[in-house]
Amino acid sequence: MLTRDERASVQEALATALASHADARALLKVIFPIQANSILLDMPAAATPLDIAAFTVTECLRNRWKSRPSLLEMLIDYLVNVQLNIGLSGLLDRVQAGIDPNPTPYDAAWLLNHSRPFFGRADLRGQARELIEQNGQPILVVTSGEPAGEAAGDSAKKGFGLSYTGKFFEHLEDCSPADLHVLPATISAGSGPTYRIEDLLEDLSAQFARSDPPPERTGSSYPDAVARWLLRQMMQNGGLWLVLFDGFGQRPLNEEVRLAVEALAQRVTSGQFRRRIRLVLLGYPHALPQVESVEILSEELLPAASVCPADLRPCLTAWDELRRSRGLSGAAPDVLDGLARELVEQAPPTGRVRLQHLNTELTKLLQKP
Amino acid sequence: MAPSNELSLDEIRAYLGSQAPAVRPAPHVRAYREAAAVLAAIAQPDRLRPLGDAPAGAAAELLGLDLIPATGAAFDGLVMLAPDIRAATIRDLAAAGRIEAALAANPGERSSPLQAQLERYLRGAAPPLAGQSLAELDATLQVAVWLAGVLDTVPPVAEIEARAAYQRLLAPFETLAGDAVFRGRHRELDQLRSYIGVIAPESALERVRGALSRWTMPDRQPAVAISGIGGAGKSTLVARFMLEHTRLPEDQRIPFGYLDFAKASLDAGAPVELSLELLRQLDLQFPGLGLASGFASLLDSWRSGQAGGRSDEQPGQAHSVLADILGILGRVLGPRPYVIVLDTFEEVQYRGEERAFPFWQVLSDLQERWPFLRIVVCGRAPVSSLRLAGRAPRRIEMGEFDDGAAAAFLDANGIDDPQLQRDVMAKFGRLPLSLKLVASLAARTDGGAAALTGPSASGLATVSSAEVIQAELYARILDRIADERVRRVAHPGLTLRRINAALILDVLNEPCGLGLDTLEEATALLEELRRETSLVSLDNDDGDLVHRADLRRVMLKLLLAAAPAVAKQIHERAASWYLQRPGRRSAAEYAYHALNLPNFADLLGPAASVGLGASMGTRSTDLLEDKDIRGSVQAAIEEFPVAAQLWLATRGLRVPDSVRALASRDQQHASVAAQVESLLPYGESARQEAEQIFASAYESLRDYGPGLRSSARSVLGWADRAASPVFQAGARLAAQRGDDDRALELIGQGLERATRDGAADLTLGLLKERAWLVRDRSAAEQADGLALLDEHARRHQDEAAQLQHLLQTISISQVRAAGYDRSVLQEVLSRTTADILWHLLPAAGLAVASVTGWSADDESFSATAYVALATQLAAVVSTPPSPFRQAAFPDPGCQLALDKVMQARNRLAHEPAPYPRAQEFLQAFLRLCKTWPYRVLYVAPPEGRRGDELILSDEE
Repeated sequence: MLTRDERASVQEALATALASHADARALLKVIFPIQANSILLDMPAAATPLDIAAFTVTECLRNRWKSRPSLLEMLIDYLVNVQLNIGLSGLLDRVQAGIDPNPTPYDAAWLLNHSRPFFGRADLRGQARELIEQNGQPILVVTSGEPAGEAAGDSAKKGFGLSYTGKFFEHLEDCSPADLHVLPATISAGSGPTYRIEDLLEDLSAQFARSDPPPERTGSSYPDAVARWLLRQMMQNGGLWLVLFDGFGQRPLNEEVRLAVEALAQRVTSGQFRRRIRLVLLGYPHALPQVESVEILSEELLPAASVCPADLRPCLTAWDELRRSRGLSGAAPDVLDGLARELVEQAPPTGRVRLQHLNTELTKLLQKP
Repeated sequence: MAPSNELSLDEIRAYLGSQAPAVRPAPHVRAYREAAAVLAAIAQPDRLRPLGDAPAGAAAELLGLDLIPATGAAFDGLVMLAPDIRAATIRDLAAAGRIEAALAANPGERSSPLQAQLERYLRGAAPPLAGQSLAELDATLQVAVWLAGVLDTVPPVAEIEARAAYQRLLAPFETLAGDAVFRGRHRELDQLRSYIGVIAPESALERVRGALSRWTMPDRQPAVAISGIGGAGKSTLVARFMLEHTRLPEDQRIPFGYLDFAKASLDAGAPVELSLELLRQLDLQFPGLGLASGFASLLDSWRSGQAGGRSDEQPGQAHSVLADILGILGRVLGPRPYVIVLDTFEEVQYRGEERAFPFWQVLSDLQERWPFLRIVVCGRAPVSSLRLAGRAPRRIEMGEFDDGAAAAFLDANGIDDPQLQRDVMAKFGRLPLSLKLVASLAARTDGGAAALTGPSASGLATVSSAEVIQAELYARILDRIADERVRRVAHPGLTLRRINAALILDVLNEPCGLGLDTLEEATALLEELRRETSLVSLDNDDGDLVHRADLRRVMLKLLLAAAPAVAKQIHERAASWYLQRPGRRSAAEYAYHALNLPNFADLLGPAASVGLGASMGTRSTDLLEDKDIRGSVQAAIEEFPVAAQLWLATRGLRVPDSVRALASRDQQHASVAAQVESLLPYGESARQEAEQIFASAYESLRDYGPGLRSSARSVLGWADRAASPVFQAGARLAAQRGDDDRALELIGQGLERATRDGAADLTLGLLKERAWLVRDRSAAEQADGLALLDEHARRHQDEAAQLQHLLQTISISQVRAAGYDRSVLQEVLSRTTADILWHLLPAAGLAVASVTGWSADDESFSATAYVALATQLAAVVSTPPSPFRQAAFPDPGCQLALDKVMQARNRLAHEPAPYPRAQEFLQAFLRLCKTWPYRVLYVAPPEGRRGDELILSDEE
């Protein structure tokens, strides 16, 4: 939709327009005659023109081309033709043509500034796009293929890489022009009884630029209060928020933590939150009470044995391109094909170690002079 | 061969081979693992001392991925050994008898309570579970996650969880009403003890019954309703009552269930979930009976059903399993009372007590079979609709504290000197709210409570009514606010229920004379007000400050007496302010302030409501039909002027009897009709309740015919022969119970009066009912009914009535033969909203079936010709505000059918090839019409879980 620089220009132009208008909210109703109410619904009460502009542009980017004309087109059209920001007219043409200048981050073969590989996971890539760009299903559950209640094992049928999935979402956060914020919390294996709701609050509150004091315990349900507090922090901080819980599917788990997760899952599916908040549960094979299945996207990890040379090929292609872009020698396609085959053949046949081996070998390639 | 400047496979292979990781010598790794395995967590990994020979300071390097983050403050460390490595290492250490040596290696890492509990189990010196506190059980559970199955001394996880869950069930009772904090309330406790009949009044440890064999099957009893204002100690009373029963010896203990509706997870309209929670609690109380196995599969199927769709067999299953388990309890324990406490029931009442009727039915059925069931309901207002053993609940009203309870309350609020407590009681009485105000004021007064009761305490009334005392105390609390502007925001500013910086600036600034210029100033003032915690609390949802509800009524009386014009100005400005802001919370506050203004009916009546709901983003075009807003208004009903309360009563809201007594005849009748409508959607027991309401209203309307009795009533002025909505309400009730003749009779009576008085709305309503009632009668009756409906519908331009006429006409086969079918139906749909379609659903079903020639059971039909019809119908049901997206039927079959309609709608909306999806949708729609659980044409949509609305997959 917009590059980061373009986004900044549009945001600035809108903020200027809002600042010169007596009633900034009323101006949004002029720009978006029908959709303004749904944008205003989530907007913090005491927002400055800059806040309103950032919030509005985020909504436009998230909407992409879902409405006709798109929200972004309506906004830029106003800035160009009413506010006479002629410099944005090129953007208007491109948005009208439905062209997105950004490479899709969902297909990335290397994550976080080319620091670690990410191969396979075709289902996850599609689900992540749907999760972030649509509002229909605000929850994604990633499971290892191991039924709820079974002890963790290293079976050949089980999938691995649950926690590594978090890196993919951090990568999306880095690349997304739509102001995506990933809010992760992790419970290490076998720590379920000792991780308390206060730990969860501390893990999450530390990640907000500004946040209210944590809720106090009163007569009503504390997990509910924590879920509401968390939602409020996200709503008032602007942008699209993705809460990523890793390890919260282990049992036994502290009851208040479990209830907070369930309360959060229930609430993110309601109208006001589903527009701005997503929940990703890594390794969560349990039902979510009061959440309809239609609300949930899911990915079941494939067994590690299923990784094949074709899965590694995009990583090697990207590695080759990266080397060439840095002026280093690259490798011919048949060499890359052979390398992919060899790496897969030399890896242990199943289990976590297979993925660890492949990750290690691919990462080592980055250091090759 | 690769070009010279390209990498070859050999070159890459050689490079990778050269980068092999360093080898970790196994003995060194083992030495560190053994040191780490006996530590819950490690705070300083670089200082970890290995058990045996290994290089120092190399834990991180040698253990690598064996170390994982110690997530949780209670670990008191940074990292810990991965659980599988820990288990294997401990097994080896125990076998070799080296546990103590491992512990001795790092004494500096062994200070946390969790570590202490781990060591008890490592040494086999842990106390039995029954003797462990909740905190110890939590630590034991962690140890069991690591070591159950490794060390024989560690109990199984499930056993620890069950014990901890039981203690958690009792924990709120201990907190609220443990020996250290509970005193008094002797009279109310005795009433409860007598109701249950296990503990003798005033003799908490002396049982009425002797040996187990002497339990005898008791008679059925009505419920007990405990009521009182917030803070009166209702929950504390039941907590104490439960606690003393749980402290009895096991052979004398009674089973109980405790459902606190303050928990969002409990829904009074979901009897299956409530039954499952009761089952879970029974299992915790009697783990030895293995009750869990009786409902484990039900629980699994319900949970998976929630995730993947409902099953219409589950409610029946749940009731039947609960009844079976009570049977098991009865056989094993004897027919000792089973007490179910429903706490914080006002949460249910605010949203409409009628929603609880399906659960009342479950309880009534259970008690029919097992008379030892006892129900206690706690709420601010007494529950009225739960009839057990054919009787209304017995009431226990929580008024004044007795001396003991008042002393305990004052203790908890910082006034702990016994003499001072007596002085306070003597001067201010023992009402909970008065004492709360005294405590607040004492906390702000130099010299504390003594300064309020001593000879120097001038100005405070000594002998006065509670109202006067409370008003004076409140005024004194306001006087103690040092900052003048904060005081003005508190009073009269707290005419607003909720306050934020924008409201201070935009709404309160002028009427309160604050002289603010910027939002920053308003924010600073808000922060000051936030410190007045006895007046306001923080709403974590949006950061607004909320006036404490119990103080509000005292304050409103003060305000109305002192500054009615300012209060009106604030209400006006607040209503305007909220009107500009979308969202249901804004809508609820708008309604609140509008209802406090003299022109409330203009601001909220049907004419004003057109478009108001849509513009504010509520779920109904009429604000008062939105369940959240309705609940909010109901919760504050006594804060509105009497005229507004009476008007709200005509919309079906409940008002105090003292206000109801002031209603005009028309208001009373409108209120009866509205109450009947609110009960109709909720099943048989709700209908029976509605019948009683109708019967008492109808009594005053009965026409005793031309005889002497009727003449005498007329002469005495007792006869009421004016038009009334009560006839339509009665007709609908009769139709719903299947007595169409009686329904038609009442419609006849109602029509006679309505036409005579020129009451067009009532006439049209009755004609709608009649046209629907005669749908299966002779062609002549049908034609007559439809002709009259058509005539009045056209005359009064009533769109819904015209559409009903068209739909019923379409469904008559002869008309279809005349080619009047599909295009007319589609034309009807093009004029229909979701709300109208909901109100005509069975008629629409007949019309669709007639047009297509299909039935709900027909799997063979082809929708090729009806894609447009299906698409149009799907669009109508899903366009908000839509009752189809909000309704949650108590009847599970119908709910399943509704779910399938909405699922089919989703698929139809997304499917590029619509034909099979159109067929699926129309089939689902016809099934919904077939399973429609009402015999009347329409009911208000039964409320879903806390008013949630289904969001469709393609929506923002």
